[in-house]
Amino acid sequence: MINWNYLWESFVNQMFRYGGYKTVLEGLQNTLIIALGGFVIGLILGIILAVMQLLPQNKVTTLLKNISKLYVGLFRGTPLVVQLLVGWYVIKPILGITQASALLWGLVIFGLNSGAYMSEIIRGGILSVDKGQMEAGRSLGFNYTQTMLKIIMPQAIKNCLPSIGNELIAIVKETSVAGFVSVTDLQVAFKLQNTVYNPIICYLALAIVYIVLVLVFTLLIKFMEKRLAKNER
Amino acid sequence: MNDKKMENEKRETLISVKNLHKSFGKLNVLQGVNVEIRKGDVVAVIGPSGCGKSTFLRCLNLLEMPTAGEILLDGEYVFKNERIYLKQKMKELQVLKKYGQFDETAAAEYEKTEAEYNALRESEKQIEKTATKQVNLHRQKIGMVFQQFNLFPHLTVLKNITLAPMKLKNMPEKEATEKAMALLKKIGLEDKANVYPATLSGGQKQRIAIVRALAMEPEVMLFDEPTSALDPEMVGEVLKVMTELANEGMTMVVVTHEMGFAKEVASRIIFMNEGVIKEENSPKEFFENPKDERLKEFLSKIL
Repeated sequence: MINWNYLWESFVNQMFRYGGYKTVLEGLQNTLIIALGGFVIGLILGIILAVMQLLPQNKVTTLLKNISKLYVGLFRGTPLVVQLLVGWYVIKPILGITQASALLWGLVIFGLNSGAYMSEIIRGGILSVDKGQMEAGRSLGFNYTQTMLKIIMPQAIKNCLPSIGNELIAIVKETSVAGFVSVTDLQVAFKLQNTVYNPIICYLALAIVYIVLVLVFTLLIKFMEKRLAKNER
Repeated sequence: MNDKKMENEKRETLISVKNLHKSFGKLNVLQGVNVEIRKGDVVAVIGPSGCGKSTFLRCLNLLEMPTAGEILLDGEYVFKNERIYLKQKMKELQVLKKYGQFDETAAAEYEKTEAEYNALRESEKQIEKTATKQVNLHRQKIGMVFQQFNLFPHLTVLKNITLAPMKLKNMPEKEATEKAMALLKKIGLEDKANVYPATLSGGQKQRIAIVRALAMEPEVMLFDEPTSALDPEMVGEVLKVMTELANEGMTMVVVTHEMGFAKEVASRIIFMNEGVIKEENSPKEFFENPKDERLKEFLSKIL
């Protein structure tokens, strides 16, 4: 039999009498920083990588296309944890960076990883825009970049917003492996509350916090989708 | 009719197309199109499907890059490539070499062709360089209307019209809006200014697509089968706008299947088949006295 009362009391004690909530708040903050920062880096990188693959073909752009493909292949071909470890224990010493904090380093790796997935999402979005839109833009006198920015991209992003939302939620949850490179994220923070061998409540609480976080982001995405859908009657 | 022809000769040439070729891989779609379009001309281009009339139109503003030939707009090169023929000749001569038939005359000819090619290459590269830089400016002078309308669905009707003048001609928003509203009023759609294209009928969309192109004040308008994707009921309203435009003196090149429009409005009709212009004449002569065999067959089927 599990003595729920006892477990709950000791958890509450640990959290509030011994100041555990401070660690948890720090973990929440770090998780949000990594998730949102990584998401923004990933989105920007994804747009760049996607456009690199879709430029009109010539010698230079073929090279860019292959670079982009190689990048996507590398980052989709290895697990995120491996990327974090390689980044932290191999790339960082090789580059001679000693100052960067684990948080910043984690954020960058998450961004680089997310960029690979995001680029495929956005490439799909761009391809889903009718070919005639580019022709209409060019025939008015816009150059390729202007047409891309003013006409294609707004439609492409709107088309792939559900998938981008997916990626945001995935990255929020994936932050739970940031502990591998000594970042105190939510997962680590709750683990640290497990002082009197009380894993049940700790990990249930952790799950609930993630669910709430994801719910908030889901609502946010729904709201954005609604706003962008205003041009459909 | 003769008067009109005389008048034609006097007006200055806007677009001049010489020996235009376009191939997609091994498929030769255009095989030497020559045509002069003067200011105020309304040229209807008709022909069986797959004859290259749409490709011809799309080559005029370089939406489709021609393979060879030259296009001039207002006396400026939009496209020029003649050297490709010389290159082909050089290749043919090289084939002789492979089979051991490369004698002295062939060698001399090869040298001559190579010299010609190099000379032409220099001058054409120069032209190409300026033409590539100017292509977006050329396109501003050439309005285009598509079969599928291609309105921008993420922008309101008004923004669809003002986007290009504001971004490309740095027109202040107020002026662009006023102009757009005046144009919308002309086609009777000013109440639709703030709706999104998804709410409009096909005919309304196409009229707005025409206005969007007009907002850039082009010198010539290209219409690529503007009524082919419309319900029969809505063809009339689009043709009416086009007729008004023609009466105002706009230079137009219209690829169409609307023989009535071609007959009534066009000043010249071009019949294309197998990638070349088979017949070019005034509407009256064209319909009453066709000379080309294929054209006779074509007309007998559709009239």
